[in-house]
Amino acid sequence: MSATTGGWLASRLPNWPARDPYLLLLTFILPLGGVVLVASARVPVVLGGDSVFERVSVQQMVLAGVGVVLALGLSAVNYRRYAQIALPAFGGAIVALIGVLFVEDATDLFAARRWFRVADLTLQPSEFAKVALVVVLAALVHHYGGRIREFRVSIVYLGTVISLVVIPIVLEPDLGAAITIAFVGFVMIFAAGARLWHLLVGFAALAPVAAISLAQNAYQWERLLTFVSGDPDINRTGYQAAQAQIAMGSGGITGRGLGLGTQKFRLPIPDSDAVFAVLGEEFGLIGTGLVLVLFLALFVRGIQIAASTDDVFGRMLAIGIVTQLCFQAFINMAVVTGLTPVTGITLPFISRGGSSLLASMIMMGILMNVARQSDLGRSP
Amino acid sequence: MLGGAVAAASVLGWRLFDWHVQQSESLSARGASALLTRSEISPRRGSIFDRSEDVLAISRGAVRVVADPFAIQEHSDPFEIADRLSRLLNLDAVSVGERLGNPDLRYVEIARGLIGEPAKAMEEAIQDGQLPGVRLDPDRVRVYPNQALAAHVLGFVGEGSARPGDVVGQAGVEAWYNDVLGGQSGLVSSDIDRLGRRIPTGRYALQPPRHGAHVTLSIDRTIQHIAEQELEAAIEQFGANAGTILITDPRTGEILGLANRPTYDPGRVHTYHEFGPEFANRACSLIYEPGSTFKLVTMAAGLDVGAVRPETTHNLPGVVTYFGQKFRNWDERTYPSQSMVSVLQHSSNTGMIFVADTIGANTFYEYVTRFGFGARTGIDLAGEVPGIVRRRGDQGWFLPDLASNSFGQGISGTPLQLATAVGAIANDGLMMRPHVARAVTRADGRRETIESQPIRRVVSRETAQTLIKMMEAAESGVAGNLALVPGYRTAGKTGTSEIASSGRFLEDTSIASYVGFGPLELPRVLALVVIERPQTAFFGAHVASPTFARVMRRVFAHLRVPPRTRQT
Repeated sequence: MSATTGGWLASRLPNWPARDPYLLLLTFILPLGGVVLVASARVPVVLGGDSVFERVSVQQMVLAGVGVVLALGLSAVNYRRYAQIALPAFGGAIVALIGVLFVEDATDLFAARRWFRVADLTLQPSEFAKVALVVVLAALVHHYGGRIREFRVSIVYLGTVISLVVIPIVLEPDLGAAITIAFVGFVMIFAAGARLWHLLVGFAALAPVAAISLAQNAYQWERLLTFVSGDPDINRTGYQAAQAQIAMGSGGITGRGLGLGTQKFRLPIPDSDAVFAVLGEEFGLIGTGLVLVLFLALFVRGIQIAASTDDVFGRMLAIGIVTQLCFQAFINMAVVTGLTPVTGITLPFISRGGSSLLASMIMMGILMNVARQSDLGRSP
Repeated sequence: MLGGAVAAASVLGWRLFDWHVQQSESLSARGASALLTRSEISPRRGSIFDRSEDVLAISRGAVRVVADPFAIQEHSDPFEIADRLSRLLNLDAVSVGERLGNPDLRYVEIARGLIGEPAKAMEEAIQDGQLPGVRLDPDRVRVYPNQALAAHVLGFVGEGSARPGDVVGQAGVEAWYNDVLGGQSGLVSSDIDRLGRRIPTGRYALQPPRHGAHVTLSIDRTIQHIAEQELEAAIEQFGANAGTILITDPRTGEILGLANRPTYDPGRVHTYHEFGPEFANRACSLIYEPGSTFKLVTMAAGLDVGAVRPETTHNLPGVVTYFGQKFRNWDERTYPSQSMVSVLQHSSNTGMIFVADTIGANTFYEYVTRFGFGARTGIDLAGEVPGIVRRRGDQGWFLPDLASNSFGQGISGTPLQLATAVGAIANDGLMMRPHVARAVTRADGRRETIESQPIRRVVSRETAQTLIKMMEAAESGVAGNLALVPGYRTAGKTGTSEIASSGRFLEDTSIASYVGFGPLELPRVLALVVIERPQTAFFGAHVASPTFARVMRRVFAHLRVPPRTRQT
């Protein structure tokens, strides 16, 4: 379709055939699924006396719309430009991460300081810091080139950059997000060609941070112990895992149907961390299997894009982005299915939460542009 | 990297397959049973009305104050909450604090049945956030708007043992008609969430409760009030310690009023430390020796078998010896050649011995039994007792007992038995079963009338009418008779019973009574006044007669019974 035949509207739309069709499909289908699931999963919250049903469900819808437009818009922006703004953006993200530590949010269950709250809107700086970290790491890997094999570069320099993001997030405290981000950072460095033992040393250097966090936050210990002991203490930390398991089993293969689940009334935060369990109950194995396949497809496509990109910055962006999105999705699903201890990790694109959704869509936009400039995008 | 991703996805995929498919059945069964709860819905207890449908007892919605010590511990100081609660509810702060201080508990009941001001104050305090962890659950409370009025007829309710919160009638109408008033519990089963709220998409089944029926009594609130007031006045005037006034309609056996002293407030039973004498329904649950009022039964028997006639004359010695035992008239005076009317008028014990001896022990006890002594009347009130009658041939019966029984001694019955027996005379010899309920109105509005039933014919119509004439003549022959009701023809009999205690009769104390009915044109009101242990007077004629007259005058006025005209 071209401007000459499409008229006014088509001339203003992005050049559709230039987008990677797989990514384009995922960009639409994942947030749309999220809107539907969150609307269903929020029913208990709404019935619980929260009168803002309309606004929050509409909010998810509007955010999904904004996210799609944002992704499509960014897909038209040459990703190489981000190399220039990478450092200032990263600096801004660090300032925001430290700033949020000084905001007391009395409404949070664990007294965590994770959000900026403006009226009823919340902004979670760690979500945007993930994007900034991926971009700045890609830019630095590009900058250092072959020196990535040096311990000083891979661990001292880049490791410090990762720590700048990870440590404030540990202090929030949000150990799950911090571990996810650290993991993604090290995967990027490894993919860039760093030596494995350098990475192991780097990870070991962060271990005391995790240990201190566990010591400081009793609930993290409880979650870990619950997981290790395998004791489904229904009333406390094992409760979520037990309820999620019942939800999955009740869903069977085809699910109870949209809106007909009952476990969402018993799951804590059914519209966010546990949305995958709601999916499992209402859409069964078909629903959860499909989401698993979609994220796997995203990862495979991202690696294909990276492989067909000569530019180091673009390749690292592609690897960082899909690792970030898919690893987070994996951790979320693993938590719900009881494969890892409980963490507060959301399911990208699908869980309720504006910051997470917008950050994910920004990454999809960047990835689409990388794809467009790769061999995949250029080949007819 | 791809390998790692595929491996991770495979592990996840296997787990999904395991849970969604392999464990699906057991998991959904576990979920289904964890979600479902059943709870009973208490039925509404029916009301009790008087004969004009004025409310005597009603169940009202109330609140129950419930605390969650675990939640209190989390949010604030249990002793501070206990302090606030005890001030609001007027409770002991220390004991409330002890109960709230145990965080292992999730449910502690602080107070129940709150209505009105205290309930409102609690609601406000909870809404102001002063009482975290304290909530109000719905409750019901039995309200008796007239306080102690008709307490012994109504009875009271208490907590049943079947289920917590069960309300069960414990006395009187509340107990007798418990199943009628109580209704049947409903059942709701539904899926609930963590906080116990119903899940709208879950299972839900409701079997609604069957609400209790309303019971309409034959009690007339005004007549009941008259009985209470006059009994209270008599007890105070004579320094007595207890008493009963029973007002019935002899044509139907309906109880119009039933008052006892001492009494209690059925709405405040929980404030009593023990079930003392005030809880006894003296009218049908305690026995006494009827004394001279019983002479009506002996005389009715004599007339009915034709052994005596009103004009039959007999010498009334002051003292007779009967099978070795001496019996005296109350004044120990001898009256030569007296008619049977005079026997009643002088309330002569020796005259009654003559009648009983003439008809013989077998006939005498046959009539005692026919008049209902020694058996429950079958009134629809809980706790009726049959009394004690020893007949010829029974263990403990001796020949002289015929003599003492003939004038109401050595024989025990309830005031209700006497009123029912005398009611038979008033009703032309047909004895009606006493009852307090007239109708039952089901929750759906269906009304079932409770018909009056005769127990049996005890004497012939002629005997009854003859005896009534004798009673009227005897009463009007007494100089300055305090039992007479100006403007109305009534018939009655005094009674003065001695009180047996530890095998001998107490001196200077008595049970003074009067039983009578009217108007004689068509007797429709019977009253029995029993005053126990009067201090300032002794005889029924002094203690009970004036009260009888006042009661009858007021009841006649209330029922608009026309006074007799001068011409007749």
